[in-house]
Amino acid sequence: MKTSTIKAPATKASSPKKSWIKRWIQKYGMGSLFFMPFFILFVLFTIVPVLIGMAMSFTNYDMLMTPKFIGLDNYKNLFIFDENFAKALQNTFIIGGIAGPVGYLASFLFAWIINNMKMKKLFTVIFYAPSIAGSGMVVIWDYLFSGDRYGFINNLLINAGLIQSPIIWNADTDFIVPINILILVWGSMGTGFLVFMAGLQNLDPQLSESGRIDGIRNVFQELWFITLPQVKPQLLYGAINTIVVSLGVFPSFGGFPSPNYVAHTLAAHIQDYGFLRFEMGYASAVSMVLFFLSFGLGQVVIRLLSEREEKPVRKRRARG
Amino acid sequence: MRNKKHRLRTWAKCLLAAALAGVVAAQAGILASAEKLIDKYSILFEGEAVAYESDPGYAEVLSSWEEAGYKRAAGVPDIVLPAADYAAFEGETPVTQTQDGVAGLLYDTETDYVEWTFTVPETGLYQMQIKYYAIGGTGLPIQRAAMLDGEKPYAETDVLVLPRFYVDAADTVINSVGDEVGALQEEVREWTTRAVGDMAGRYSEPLLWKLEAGTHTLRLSYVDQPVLLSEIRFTAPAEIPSYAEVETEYEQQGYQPAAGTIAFQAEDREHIVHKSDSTVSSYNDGDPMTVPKGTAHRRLNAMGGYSWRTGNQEITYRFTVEKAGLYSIAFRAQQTWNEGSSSYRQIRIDGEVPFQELLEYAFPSDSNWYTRPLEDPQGNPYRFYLSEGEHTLTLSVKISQYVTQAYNKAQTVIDGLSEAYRKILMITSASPDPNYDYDLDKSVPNLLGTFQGLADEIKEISDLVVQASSSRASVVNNLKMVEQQLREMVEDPDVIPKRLDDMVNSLTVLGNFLTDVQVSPLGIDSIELVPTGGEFTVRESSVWSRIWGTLENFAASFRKDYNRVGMTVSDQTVTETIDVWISRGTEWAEILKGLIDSEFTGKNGIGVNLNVLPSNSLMGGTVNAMLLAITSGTAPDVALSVSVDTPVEYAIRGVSLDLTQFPDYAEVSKRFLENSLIPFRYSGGVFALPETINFNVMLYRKDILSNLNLPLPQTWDQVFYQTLPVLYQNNMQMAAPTFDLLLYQMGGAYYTEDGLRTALDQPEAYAAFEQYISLFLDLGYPITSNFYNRFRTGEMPIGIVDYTAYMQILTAAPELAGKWDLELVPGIRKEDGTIDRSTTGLTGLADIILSQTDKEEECWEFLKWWTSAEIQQSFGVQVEGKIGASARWNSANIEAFQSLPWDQQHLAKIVDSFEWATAVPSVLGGVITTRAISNATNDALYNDFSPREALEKAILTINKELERKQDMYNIQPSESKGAGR
Repeated sequence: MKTSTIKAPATKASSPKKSWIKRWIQKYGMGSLFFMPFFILFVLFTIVPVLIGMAMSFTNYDMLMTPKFIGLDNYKNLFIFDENFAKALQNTFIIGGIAGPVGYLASFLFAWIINNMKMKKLFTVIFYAPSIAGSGMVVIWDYLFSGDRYGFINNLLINAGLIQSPIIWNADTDFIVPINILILVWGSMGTGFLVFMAGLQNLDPQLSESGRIDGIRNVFQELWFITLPQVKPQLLYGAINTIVVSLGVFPSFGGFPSPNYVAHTLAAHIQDYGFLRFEMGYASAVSMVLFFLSFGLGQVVIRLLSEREEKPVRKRRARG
Repeated sequence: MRNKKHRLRTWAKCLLAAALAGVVAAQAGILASAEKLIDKYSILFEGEAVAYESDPGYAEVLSSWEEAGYKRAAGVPDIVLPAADYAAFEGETPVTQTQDGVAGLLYDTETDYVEWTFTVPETGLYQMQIKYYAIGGTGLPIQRAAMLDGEKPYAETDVLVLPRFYVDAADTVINSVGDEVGALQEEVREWTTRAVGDMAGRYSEPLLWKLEAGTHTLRLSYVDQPVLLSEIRFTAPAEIPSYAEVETEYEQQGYQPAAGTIAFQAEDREHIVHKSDSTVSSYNDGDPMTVPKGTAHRRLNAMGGYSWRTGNQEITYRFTVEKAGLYSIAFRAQQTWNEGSSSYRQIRIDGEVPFQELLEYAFPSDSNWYTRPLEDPQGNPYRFYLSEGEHTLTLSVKISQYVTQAYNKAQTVIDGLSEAYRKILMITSASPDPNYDYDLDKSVPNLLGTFQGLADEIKEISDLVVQASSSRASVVNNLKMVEQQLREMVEDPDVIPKRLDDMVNSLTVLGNFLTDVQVSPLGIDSIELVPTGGEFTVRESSVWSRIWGTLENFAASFRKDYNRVGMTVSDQTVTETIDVWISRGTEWAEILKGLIDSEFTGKNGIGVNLNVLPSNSLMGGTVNAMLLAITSGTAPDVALSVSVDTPVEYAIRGVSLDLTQFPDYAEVSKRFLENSLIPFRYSGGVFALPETINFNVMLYRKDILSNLNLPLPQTWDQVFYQTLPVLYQNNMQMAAPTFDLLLYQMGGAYYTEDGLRTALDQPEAYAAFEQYISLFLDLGYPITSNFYNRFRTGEMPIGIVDYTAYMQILTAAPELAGKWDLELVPGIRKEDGTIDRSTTGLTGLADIILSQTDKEEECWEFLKWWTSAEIQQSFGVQVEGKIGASARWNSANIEAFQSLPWDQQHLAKIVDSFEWATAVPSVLGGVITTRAISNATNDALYNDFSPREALEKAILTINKELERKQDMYNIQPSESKGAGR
């Protein structure tokens, strides 16, 4: 007896390429309509600018005259001659490296604490508000940290007898970086924080119950063994967010550019060259460096935080 | 042996003789060099100490006269002084001129003063009336100072004002956006007789002069503006009856309520005779019940408002009465600006105050419009008898007598408190040791008594303010706080050293109080005269109608283009249109548009699209709209108010237009100070016209310096050796000059002639930088300080300021009036004896033409018109009127600059300072310079660099950047022609 093989549904007689497209449309057509708006905007306003930036980094575009192709000159200047770039890189890592993880941990910690409290919504709003108000608060920070002896913090310290003469916060290079880190951490309870809150509210109570039965003694053990593994996707999102924001951090205190470039981050460097010194081509080159840095670090984090358990298993089987 | 001894003795005698001779010679030498030292340093100690005398105020003097028994003159004939019969004068001879059939004395700026002698038959207190005709001048009120018998009777005689009168030149117009736009103001001139009052409107009756029987001399000194004087009269003060007396009169005459209502809009041009200030204008009110309604589109439906707020500003209305009889007058008015305080007006019918109660009538504050008749405190409307025919109604801004008393008291309190503060400061210094018992009540004589007295005064001030307010004014709370602090300090004197900051705060509060109580705004929508007993039309808007009005506005916001300042000229008359962007607030743009429509487009048919652009700040990622517009090819034709280095930055990249290509450029450039064009020069061309200029002057506290017996320093040596030591002995300081100033005064420069390298590597620059750093490290200048606050408290009685700080002190520190003055900045004495007083930063903002334009001629016409003296002056007066004196227009057109309402003596000094003022040139890559200097300063002050090292680093950075940029743009040394120093 002949066994009938189950054939694929009959397709129209056409070249393989077309049918592949048609198949794709049938399978994904409806879905793509849903993400098309976002996708178009994303391509137009994120992908395309990155590509244009890449192109511009090989020219000497100054925003006003036609650009001329100069090959790798910008990158050469960048890595060999520009002492401020090294400083900017260093500052970015310091400021971003401290403010980023600190902000990240603080976000998670506060999300976790608030999750276990009453009046969650009120506290969520209180902690989320600074990140939205961020740019408007520059005035407040300048006022608090004014270098005048009658400036707010100076006056408190002088009256308390801790210092004798006023500290010029926004000019003395020792203080500018810590203040910037402080401001960043204060404003870092942003979307990451909200995402953590959401993730923590969706925990499976069964797991914590069974954990308690199995001998978990205190809250911290519960946090480490039960809660954290469940919120890995949220942690991943928060981490990527933090990395991108930290690397692109812009110093909001201390003037622009800060004295002796002490708080000059990569973003500030780009802004400086692009808009103040009319060297958009060079600025594009710097932004390319920033881009690849963020991308690279992002990949590292993904490897760290995505579900790893399956891979070793698969590998063994393949070899075995 | 004897020989040896003898020899030794001879040697000893010789040595002794030599030693003695040496000592004598040394003495002589020391004396000689001491004399040279004295010669050198005596030059530092020349000069007389600053003189300061405060004149008594009118209130004080008047009460002293009344106590001495002087009475108001009554029943005596007028004492007439024909102006042409002057006894003496100084300056140019005043000539006689006939105007409209009346002969008058032309008293212009060249005449310093004119004197008249006259005889007084009877002793008494008289008022002064002047018959005058306002001529020529620059549209500002006419001011003179008066002295009787060579003395100033009281401080107010320093400025006596004779106002000019204005009307709308044309009807209002609806512009292309659908908004109503006001017309320009024009002056109306005629012979006016006016009783002279105080310039701030604090006293509701004209000033009184004490004249004893006998011969006297009156001197009028020139302050501002020319005038034709016909005669001056001393008259018995007008006796104004009380309302009760007036009512009795009505009874006696048997007047009846009239018939027929007369109503008109307060902003109606037909009914306004004139206003005493061109800046009092109609405005748009969004209340739905205001007639005509101005919600979605702007309609000028109310008169005065915030623009009608300073003393003596008056509006005169005319109306016709059909039937004679008794009327009551109602106003639909609004006083929403001074929360809790009432605004006072003097009401005059046919030029005279009908009864006492109208000398100062209170319009209470309310968050909404209200319609109320002029009424007595019990609520009964006042009755006015009006005969048939035309009448006038004048409303004049006055400051309530309670507020005036409070104002005078507040001045004395501030004086007392400042002095106490300074005395305490002399003992404790600005940062007192928190662990030390200063026993201030014992070390400062009568400190507690002073504080007690001040606290009591403040209580009286609060009470007076409450009397003048309709409800609890917020300012009373501030006063109570100050009073509380003072009482606490009296109770526990040990707390005083810790409360120094609170005292500074209190001074600020009181200072703000003085500023706040000087404004008395009132908006009027309509005026209605109704026969007594009749009904007034009351238009109160309900909450719902207001909500609807807001919604209408909101809907309109989708249709209206708010960036575009609308055109009022119809399109048919326009041949070409240019796009102009201005980087200032909408008020400035609207005034400019008004001028454009009537004076520019109306005259030569070039239309202007005016757009408001946010200034191109680059902090934290905000967008530089201008730059992006140029990149995308949508740049405007002309850009106004751009920052000073933009023109050259754009010129380097071929984006701004070289203005020297226009044939009449040379002539136009003469309107400005030569040096103000320096930052716009590049490669032989000039790429912008200056719009505003800046100046640097030295401000000083007359009262404090005269207390310290200090003369004004003319050179920096005098500052360091004479002024600073005395200041520091008294725990005061001085504000530091900028590095620029020292650099230029010491003969240095930022760039070489060709602008290709920095000139900071010259010895003069090193010397200047070392001097600059030593100001902070060795001479104790504070690195950062708020000059405005410290000048007010007196901690920094002397300092160098720019235009902005000068305006701040002038307008926002009223308690300092008369206590400070202006002087040229100290300089460096050169070998030929002259003092180099160079300052920089002369140029303010710039106007450029973008090279993307295809209408170059039209753009140049516009710039020529905009920077002309007439338009700049008109613009300046209007801006100041609309926004206030703090927005004084510092026009770069020198003629216009001098014609704006500066204090004349200050102006003279400022114009002197222009001789030395200059600006730093803009060069390719020059952005790096300010940064490098700032970093160098930072290094030297905080990071232990020596000034030389820090400056060397800066020089390297600057030169490297300049070279880099020159490389980028292929500039060869021979091609570039910089701007020089």
